Amino acid sequence: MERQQFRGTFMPYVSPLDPCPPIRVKTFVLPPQLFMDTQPPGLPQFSPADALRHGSLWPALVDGFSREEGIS
Amino acid sequence: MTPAEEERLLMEKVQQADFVVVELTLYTNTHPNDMEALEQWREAIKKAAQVRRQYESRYGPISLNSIPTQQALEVGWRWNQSPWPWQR
Repeated sequence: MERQQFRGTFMPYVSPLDPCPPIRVKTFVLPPQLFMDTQPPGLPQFSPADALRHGSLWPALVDGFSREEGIS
Repeated sequence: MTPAEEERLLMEKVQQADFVVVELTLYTNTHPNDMEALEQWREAIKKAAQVRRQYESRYGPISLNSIPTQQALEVGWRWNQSPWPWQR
């Protein structure tokens, strides 16, 4: 996976009584919008084909979420 | 390029053009005085309408507010008949 820029992680508590094998590290998305208040005008843009594929017209707002990661 | 692939490609172009229009509309909601974006938004709407017209003239209407062209009727478009645009 490409660099994990917009991700946060935490270690949930693992109890010996857990019925299933523990998930040691949980990952969640920290989208770029969190670090940017209003979107500055004139940001570089994707082509229409890439925009539809990445889910945003501006590369700066894409958090790189992929289905394989299975997180929202 | 089989006809089905060709149509799939044209449908994808329609989706891409519409997505750009949606993105720019949302952007202009929050940036009403960004003249450059407003201009690009107008261009995007024209482009999306043009690509949509191109698709609909060949394969029949995609939405309920467009009239089937003669060519679409020849291709076999009929009201309320499968396959629907997203099934082809």
